[in-house]
Amino acid sequence: MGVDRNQILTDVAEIILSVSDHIPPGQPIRMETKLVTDLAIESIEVASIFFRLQARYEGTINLADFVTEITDGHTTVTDLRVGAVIEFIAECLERNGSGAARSAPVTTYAHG
Amino acid sequence: MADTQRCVILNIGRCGSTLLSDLIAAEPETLSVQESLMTLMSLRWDASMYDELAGSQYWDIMRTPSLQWQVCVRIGAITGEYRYPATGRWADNLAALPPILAVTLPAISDDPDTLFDFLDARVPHFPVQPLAQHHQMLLDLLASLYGRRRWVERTGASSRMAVWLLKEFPADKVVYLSRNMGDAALSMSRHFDFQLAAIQVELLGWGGFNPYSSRTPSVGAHGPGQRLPAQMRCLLPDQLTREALAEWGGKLSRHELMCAELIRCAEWALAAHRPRHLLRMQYEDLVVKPVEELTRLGEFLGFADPSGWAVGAAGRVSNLRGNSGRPASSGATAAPYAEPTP
Repeated sequence: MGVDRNQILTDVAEIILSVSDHIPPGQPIRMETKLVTDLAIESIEVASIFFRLQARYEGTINLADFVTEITDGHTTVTDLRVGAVIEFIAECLERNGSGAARSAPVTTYAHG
Repeated sequence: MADTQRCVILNIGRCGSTLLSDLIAAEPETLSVQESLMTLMSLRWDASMYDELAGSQYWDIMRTPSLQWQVCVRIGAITGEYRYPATGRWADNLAALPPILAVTLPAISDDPDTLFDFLDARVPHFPVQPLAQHHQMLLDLLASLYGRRRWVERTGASSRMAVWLLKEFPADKVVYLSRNMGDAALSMSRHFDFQLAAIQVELLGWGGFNPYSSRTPSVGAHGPGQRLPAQMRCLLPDQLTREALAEWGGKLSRHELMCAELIRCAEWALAAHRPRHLLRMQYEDLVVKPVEELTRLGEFLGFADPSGWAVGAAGRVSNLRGNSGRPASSGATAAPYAEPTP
């Protein structure tokens, strides 16, 4: 079974909305949405989103690697697209044979 | 001074930028301005909130202690970068210390209180203008006051506000100083300021609010703090302890993520708002070949004698040799230059 990218999008969107209090209600979050340009997400909020995603997909993804990968080469760095994050997570899940994205509640906290 | 040259050192933090600032301070025509943007970092950089600020409003931002600072004073988590003299006017009441007096003014003057009074009488009369213009006017005023032809601003981890800096702040030249991510993250995980930053990211992530930010509503019985998992209540400003700061703020994996994000911010801002003049520097190069790297910096900044300055300054860099990649101190008790400070 392939990874359900729509489920990952749902997870990511929920986390983005829970972290940022200034995104207007009804603001769509899609694959092509850009975190800063479209959602005015600040750096500290991006880090919070990364923390949450790292916990959500614990043991499967390393977002520090993802960021390092997209910043390598300097000149091609662009605003962070939601779809790029989702694609990275999906690829990690596929590599780990995780199948469909898990559907655990995204609010679960693990101190570690 | 009409032709004041302006330069900003963009950096990720824990990459030797404080040392660089101190070395630059030895150049006679340059005013080295340290941590002047620290207060502005807690502001939200959106829309036009800061497009039309009166001088008095701007000065209030620069002189009003943040909640973060007050908590650090309460729990004794003051970093080694702090420079306010023990004999200063606020020495007995550090929680009330204007933030510009924590590092910026003591790095410029041996009598920072008097310098503060001078600014306190003038800055509130700055005209209504955007925040960035106010800050430029302040640094221009300081450079003029000390008869310097240029200023070089450096605030630790300024890459967090890289887009604003490169888009709005009128610098002629930009230096971007970075460091191997793993080493920088390790160093951050042991530094009070970065530990507190990590806690704020945790609170924002899991509670949806940052109680250390000036724009967050107060945390009452029905406030946003009620959304927090119970085990995270110890991170709230009125409950935080040194132990909780170290335990929650010292997780290396968190700092790797934060450091990666700081690097991403800087690289994206540099690509989107390309400075007219940019010099990239790497901490590791500075440690291995200080004379060459400092000469390159001196030439870029337009120093009258870049190689002479570099040779004189390089000895202070040599103390870093052997520390590259090694775990950093907390920043609280480190001897000067034993470890790069942000």
